[in-house]
Amino acid sequence: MGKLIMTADDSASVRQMVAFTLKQNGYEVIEAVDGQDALTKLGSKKVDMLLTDLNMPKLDGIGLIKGVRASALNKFIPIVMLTTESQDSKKSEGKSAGATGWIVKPFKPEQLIAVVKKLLG
Amino acid sequence: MTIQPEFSLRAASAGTDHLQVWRPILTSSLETLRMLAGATEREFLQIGARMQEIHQQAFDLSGTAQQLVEVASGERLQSLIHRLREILSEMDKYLGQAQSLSETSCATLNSVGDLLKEVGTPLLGVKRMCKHLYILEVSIKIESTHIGEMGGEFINLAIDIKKLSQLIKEKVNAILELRALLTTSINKNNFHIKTVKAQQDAKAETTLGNTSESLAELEEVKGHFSRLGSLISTISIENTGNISTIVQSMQFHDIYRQQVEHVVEAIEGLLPAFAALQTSDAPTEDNQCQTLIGMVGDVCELQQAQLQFASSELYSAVVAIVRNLQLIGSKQKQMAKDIFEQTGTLDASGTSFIDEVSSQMTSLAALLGSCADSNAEVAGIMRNVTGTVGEITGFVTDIEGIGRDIMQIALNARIKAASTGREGASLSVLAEEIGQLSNEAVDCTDLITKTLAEIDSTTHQLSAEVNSSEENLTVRLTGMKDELVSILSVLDKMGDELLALLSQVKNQVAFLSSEIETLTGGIDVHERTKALADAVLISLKKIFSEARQLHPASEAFKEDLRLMAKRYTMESERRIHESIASRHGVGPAKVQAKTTVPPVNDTEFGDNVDLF
Repeated sequence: MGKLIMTADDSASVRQMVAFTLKQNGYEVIEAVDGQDALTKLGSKKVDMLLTDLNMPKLDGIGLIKGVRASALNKFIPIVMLTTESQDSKKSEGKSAGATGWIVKPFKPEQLIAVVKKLLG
Repeated sequence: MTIQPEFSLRAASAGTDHLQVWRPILTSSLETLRMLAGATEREFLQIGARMQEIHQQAFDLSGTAQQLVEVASGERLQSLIHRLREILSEMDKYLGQAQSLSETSCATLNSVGDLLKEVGTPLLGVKRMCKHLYILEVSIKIESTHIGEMGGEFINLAIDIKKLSQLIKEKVNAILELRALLTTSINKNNFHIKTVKAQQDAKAETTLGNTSESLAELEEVKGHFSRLGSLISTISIENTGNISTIVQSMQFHDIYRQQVEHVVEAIEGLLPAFAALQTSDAPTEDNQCQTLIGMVGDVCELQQAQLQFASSELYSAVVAIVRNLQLIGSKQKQMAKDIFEQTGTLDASGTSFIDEVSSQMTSLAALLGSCADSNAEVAGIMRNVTGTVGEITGFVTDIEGIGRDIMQIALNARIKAASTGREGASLSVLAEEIGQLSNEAVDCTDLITKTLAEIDSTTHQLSAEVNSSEENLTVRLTGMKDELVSILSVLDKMGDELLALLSQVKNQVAFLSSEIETLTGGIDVHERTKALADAVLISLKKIFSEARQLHPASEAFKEDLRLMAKRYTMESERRIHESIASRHGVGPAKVQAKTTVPPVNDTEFGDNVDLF
């Protein structure tokens, strides 16, 4: 049984590629279409890691991170942003909210897996 | 900003006309751009789903190819080759022993033939003795008439002698007949053994040579397959690289969408100014008109560059997706081609290199069977010779017995002759003669017995040797043959497995190629988006050129450019914006002071990765 990772992104094709990459490497994946969807699902599901986009409708990545860090179930999981944003101010905002890492799109699958392995041990 | 009155009057009129033309063009471009921003998701999702299927198929194909390599170069085949080499070596040794045995058999048979010739002289001696005995029998009968009543007993003796000599004659004739038969048989068998052996030697040389050659080829093929195993691993790694590029390229859809959305936002920002211009009065209109023309020029110049870049990036990404999918297909095809070449199964017969080895093994097994038959035949011949010699010896023993009987008769005759006085003197001489003849007969038979004993000893020794060898060799041959049959069965099974896997590879490659061809042939999202984007780009470029002719970029818009810079969150967008701004003498946008986010081992993962 592989570790469970949530990917939150409003782009279905990005979720598809993230899920494909993770599953190829033995992880189980749960998908969320935006921050609010992710928070709802995480309310009842314990996951090992969260990969989230920054700009999403309803609730963005920063809001999602804050929500997860405030929750009981997934409070301490590693959270990595997967975004096109590369501004230092945004990264700083993400870090302050509780992000563990920041990956700028487009990323190589091996980069994502290396980060996931590093953070999940 | 201050505008010269002359210029203002001319420009105001031309500017208003242009603005009226630009507005619907920009509105139309916006519609196209909004469509571009959201229209490609479904297609990318489909490409992504099919890419995953293709990846799985390529993975399965590599798995089948690896299985095939395992069959064709694995431990199972290695141990079979090893055992076959051992059997070949044993066969070689066996054939050497069989050759030696065959030569010994032929030499022994020749020797027996020579000894049988030697028996001829004493046999003729015995025959002559019989003739003499017959003469003596007649003489006894004649002389018996001179001694009156006593002659009757001598006549009875003569009759006995005649009977016995007749018996000896019959025995000698039987021996001569057997000797003739044996001599003929020996000559015939000797020739047969030599002929069969020569044929076997020739066949053995060919079969062993061919088998050895087949094994060498098998080892060579095994070596090729081992290398093919490495090639398959390399292709798998390369496929992973291709998939990596595809996964990375697929993300450009999302990036493109965001970039186009930014262009849309920038152009949308112009539209309220157009609306405001329509409602304002004339003096203000001039100023507003000039301002708007400058703003339109700046925005269109900038967004044209942004859209050009985004469109080009998406186009390249899709081309990369298509190219990498095709690379996966061509490499898998090449891998299959290499496999088919190595197995020699490109023909429709479905035969493989294993069939060639199997065929040689079957010939080898047949040769072993034929060798075993030959051994049994030689053993049979030797048993036959021994039997016949035994039969002859029996007759000779009979002759010896008869000779001793005649000696007894001769002794009785001498005793009786002594009692007849002078009249019986001649009979005494005849009895003496008979005694001597019977002595000679015994001497002859001694000679024959001695020769026969020699034949018997030779044939017994060879027969024992042949029987023993035959037994041992038959056991060995049967063992080798059984093992060969077993190996053949394994080889056949491997051949079947190989053919099944090859058929699977063929089907998988055909399916994969067709899938990739269908998928890549159907990907035109980049061409369609490019065509739409190109139309917008032409419009933006036209507006930008006209705007710049009417109103060159002014200092007043620099602040707008700076403000616009904030919209660009992507590194690439910022670079384009800065490049355009610097072309107009606008410095980099002031951004919030960088908050240091210490990256942890970011180089370990790449420049686009930061761990906090």
